[in-house]
Amino acid sequence: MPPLRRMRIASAAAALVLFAVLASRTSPSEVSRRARFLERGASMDAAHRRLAGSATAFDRPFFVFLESARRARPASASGILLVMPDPSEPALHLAAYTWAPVPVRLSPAPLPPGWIAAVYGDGRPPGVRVLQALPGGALLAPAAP
Amino acid sequence: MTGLAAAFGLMAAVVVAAALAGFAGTRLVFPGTREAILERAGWGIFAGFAVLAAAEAMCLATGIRPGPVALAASLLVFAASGWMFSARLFAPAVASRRARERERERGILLAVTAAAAVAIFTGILLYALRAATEPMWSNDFLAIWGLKGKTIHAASALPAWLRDPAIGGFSHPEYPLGLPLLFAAVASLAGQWDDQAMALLYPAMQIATLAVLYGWLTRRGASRPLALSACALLAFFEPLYSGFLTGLAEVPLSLAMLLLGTALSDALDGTDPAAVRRLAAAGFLAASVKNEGLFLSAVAAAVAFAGPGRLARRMALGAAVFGPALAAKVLSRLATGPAPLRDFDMSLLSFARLGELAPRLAAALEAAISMAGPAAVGLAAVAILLACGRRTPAADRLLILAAACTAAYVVLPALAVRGPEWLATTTLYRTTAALAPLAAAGIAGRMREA
Repeated sequence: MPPLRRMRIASAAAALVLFAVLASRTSPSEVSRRARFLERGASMDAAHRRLAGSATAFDRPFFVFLESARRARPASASGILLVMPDPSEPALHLAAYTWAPVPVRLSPAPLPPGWIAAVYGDGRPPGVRVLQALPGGALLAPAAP
Repeated sequence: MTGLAAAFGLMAAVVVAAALAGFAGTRLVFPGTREAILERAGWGIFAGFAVLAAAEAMCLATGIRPGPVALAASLLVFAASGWMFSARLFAPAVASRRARERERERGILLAVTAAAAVAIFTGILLYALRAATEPMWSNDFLAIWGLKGKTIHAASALPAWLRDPAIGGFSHPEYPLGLPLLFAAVASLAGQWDDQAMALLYPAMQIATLAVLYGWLTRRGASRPLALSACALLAFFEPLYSGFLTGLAEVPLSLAMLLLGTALSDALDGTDPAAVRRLAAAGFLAASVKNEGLFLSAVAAAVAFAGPGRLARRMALGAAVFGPALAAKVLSRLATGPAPLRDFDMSLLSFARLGELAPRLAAALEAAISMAGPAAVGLAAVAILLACGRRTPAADRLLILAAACTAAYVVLPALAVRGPEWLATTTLYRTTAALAPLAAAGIAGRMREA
């Protein structure tokens, strides 16, 4: 067989193998699952679509708390200190994104002037007053002197 | 029509408007001939997005509230500038004509062409489904790209806290702002921040990538079946076109890298007078998306310097690609202020700590090798495709760029603050996946005469 022909057959075979490897990464069941998920989300608002999605899978009640806090945040609050029992990077990132453009810090950190605290869970630090109770937590502000 | 369907419709309208304006504007860097129409369409999509991001930045810098009027006006101005300052014609496309003649002589491989076209269409649909299934969700979208975009959109400014290491440090203030500005701009044009509808930007970038790949390969002499086959493989390249990477910088960077590589090759071969403009534009775009765009531009400048021709011309080409990339970096620095590379400990490069570097390099290499294991079959197929090609300077340059980036991605975890294994396992897979379009163009380009 001439070398050029051999080369063509080898490259065609390699391309087919590569295509098979790549195509096998998407299963028909994944496609139908995604299509169904997309269809279900079509009637939801943005917050409910986020709640049903992958970003909140690590703790869906936590996102309910974040979204409730976003809606209840006083306009005068210039930042939010997030207090939670098991702080984690994914939790901080989800909170920062949900509350953007308001800056967020994770406790333990000082509460700067003008900021409020969002406490996820039952704990209530001393010297604060409850601004609003939320599903899974509360919005707090420093107690008046 | 439901809320989500309406949001998708609005976003599709924004994408089409940007693509049309970009297509008209790219006459600045392409002639308006049929020869380059698909490649120009691909460039047009990215150019339209870049114009929106630039307009958003200019609005923020001048205190004008970014709104539909300002953003639409920027698209119109760009489209008009394409008509006013259009590029000159290509040199006679001998290679491309020759390829078409060869096809006719051999009887076009209709089956391959049709199968590849179906595969490309399917690949695009699959990625659109992956991208748009749910609101963009990756951690880096929430922590970096989406956070900055949403903040800029909602505040109509770049708040100081994003640059404060204690508050916004996790969002990597040292990263370029091109992608967040694009997110903010399209949200302003659409009138809402919908992070699920916005995912449509990503399949649009995939389409742009495939158009540029096909257009460049056929313009540089590849047969239609070969170019379509390369596009089919790339369209199905799920490690890049995944739900996970939707919302991140890898997909736009992969397109910018392809633009840069193809423009570099055209400029070095002198295919047309406007190739240098494309090279400069690609350098700026790549560095505006991600920091490694600046690195790639530096490598491209080195390739240009080592290329054929007179020294003055080679130096001019190097400056043409690296200068705009550096300008993009300076502009980014002006906006974000000085910010160190958060993931890297540069003191490891100091003389006193050189001893620590060797075991770290070994760990980084070990992590890279262990990650390549599961992809062995695919990598072997790629190696065979590479071996089946033959030396072709136009294509080899693209592979040099891809190889330099791969080497950097493999070695850099040695400097990681959290350790080589951590950075390699969290980033190597996706950063190298972004080199796929560049590699596809290089590998297919080497096979065009085989």
